[in-house]
Amino acid sequence: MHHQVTSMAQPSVTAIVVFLLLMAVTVVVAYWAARRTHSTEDFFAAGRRVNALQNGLAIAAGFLAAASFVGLPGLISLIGIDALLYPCASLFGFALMVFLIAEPVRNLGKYTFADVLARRFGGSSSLRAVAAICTIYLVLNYLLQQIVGAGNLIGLMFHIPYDAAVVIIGVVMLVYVLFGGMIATTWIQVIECVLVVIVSIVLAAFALAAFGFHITAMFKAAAAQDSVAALTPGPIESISVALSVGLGVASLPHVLMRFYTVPDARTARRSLFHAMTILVIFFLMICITGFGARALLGPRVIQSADPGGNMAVPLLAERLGGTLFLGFVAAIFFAVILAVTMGLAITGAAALSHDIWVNVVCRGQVNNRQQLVVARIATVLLFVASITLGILFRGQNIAFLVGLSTAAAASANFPVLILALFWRRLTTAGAISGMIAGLGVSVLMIYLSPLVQVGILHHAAPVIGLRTPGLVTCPFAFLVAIAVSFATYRETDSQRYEEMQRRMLMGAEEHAEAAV
Amino acid sequence: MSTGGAARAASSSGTAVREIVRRQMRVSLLLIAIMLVCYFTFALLMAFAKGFLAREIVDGLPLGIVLSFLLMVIPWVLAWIYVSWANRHHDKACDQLGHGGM
Repeated sequence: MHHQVTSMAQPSVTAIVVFLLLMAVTVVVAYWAARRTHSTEDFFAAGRRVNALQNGLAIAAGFLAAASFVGLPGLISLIGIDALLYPCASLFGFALMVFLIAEPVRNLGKYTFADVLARRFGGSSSLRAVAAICTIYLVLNYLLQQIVGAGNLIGLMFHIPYDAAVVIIGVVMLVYVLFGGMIATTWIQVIECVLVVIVSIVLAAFALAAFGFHITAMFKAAAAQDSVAALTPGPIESISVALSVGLGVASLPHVLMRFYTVPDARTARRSLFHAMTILVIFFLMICITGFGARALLGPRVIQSADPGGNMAVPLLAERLGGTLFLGFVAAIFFAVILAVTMGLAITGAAALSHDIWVNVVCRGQVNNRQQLVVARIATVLLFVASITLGILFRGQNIAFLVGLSTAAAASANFPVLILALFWRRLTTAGAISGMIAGLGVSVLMIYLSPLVQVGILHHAAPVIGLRTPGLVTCPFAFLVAIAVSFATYRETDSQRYEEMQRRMLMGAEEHAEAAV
Repeated sequence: MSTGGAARAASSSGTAVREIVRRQMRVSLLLIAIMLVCYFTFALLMAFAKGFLAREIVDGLPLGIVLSFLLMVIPWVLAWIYVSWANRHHDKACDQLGHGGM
């Protein structure tokens, strides 16, 4: 069999059967969830009744997006060892969340990242608005990555046009989130997580079986392949990636939001640990899969299907398990995208409706029924935005979009979140300017980087060589927040800090309901 | 804060809060320090010593792969240490704060 001839041009029967089965299961879940969604708390936080294991699986699923399931093994298949920084950085970020972020965020907030800042600084509406805009920016970026990636791959695997694939994903996401809210999202993420871990184990086992389960033989064959020099990061780039991904992961809004679905901080902590367990297993398996693809197919074949390496997993699945297995993987990939986009949509909807509409525009004067209506309108707006962007950005390199979001998360959210939780002297003005500086400068630096200057505007040389600007923008955001805080500090600010510290440890659900 | 008694109670529970936070930060910062050293050593090797990472420690097994697999497990182990510490000591301290301070 010649491996460049794949059956991917035709819709595989297994893909469609598994896909229909998945749809049947998820429709039942969404319907069941819709009947249990009565309040805003149900819609955004699944009634805070999710247990630690369920939430752990859902956190892992919300994080294991297209970039981990398809992008990472693809990159390993093209550049080998150099790609291994990404999974290490992700687990580093998750551990940071366990040590510093999960418990305080759960105890201080209600639904969103902005709640935490509002708890620290009182009801400054400009602070809340800036925090919400950062969240919406990040959510749209991630949504766009998922939708563009999925539009390409699902289009290829099911033999449907890109635009149709984008609309299908968008509509399924919209309907499920609109009616089932966070309850449906949680359960669909749990199901997806179990499936994706199983698939990663099977893929790794198939790849190893091809070498008679001699892992060293596989690594040897992988090491013999050439690496794609253009995709191999230089020294400064590597360190910037290590910093951006590590810190960016620790403050992703759609991961933070999952902490609010559990009853208390200790459950949030345990659920995060369960998520890490899943991620360790998944990343070890998917790395082995990546090396398997590198050893068995080689970078040249993989790049001929997609220059970014995104077809490595589908090609490997077909080579090792035939069209039957490829169909299964394709359907699981759809489930991955669906679960991740649902989590993102609900996070963005919370920022739009709970932060912007309810707290900034209406100053909290909105009853529960209206809040639920606004939350659903916000979901529709996000759906429209992501479909439109998805179609506008068709054919765009996903790597560009990934660069946009990790650096922005590490610079806009992480510095201010850490300072708000642990630095007594941070002021409202410091927090606002830190977020604006982090977001603004990372967007500017991406614009000046090779990704936009060379990749999109087709200039000969970029203004700045760095693709991932986190190495510059994250320290810059810290500096701005600290400098502005020193300039605007008043004694009364530290009283609020003492109050917040107490809440950080104990939580104050009843107080939070009344005050936020 | 309206009467002297309330202010005294608030400040004594304030000391308890600070003590718990101090202890928690000691554990967190120690674990973070260990993780930072491991992680950035690895990141610097990735950036500047690619040849070193490509070296095979046994036949067919490059050092870079072994280290990166370790670097995925280390944060998990450290998180496990933190979670079991917090489950045993931190939660109890916070519960006592809830009963004594309010």
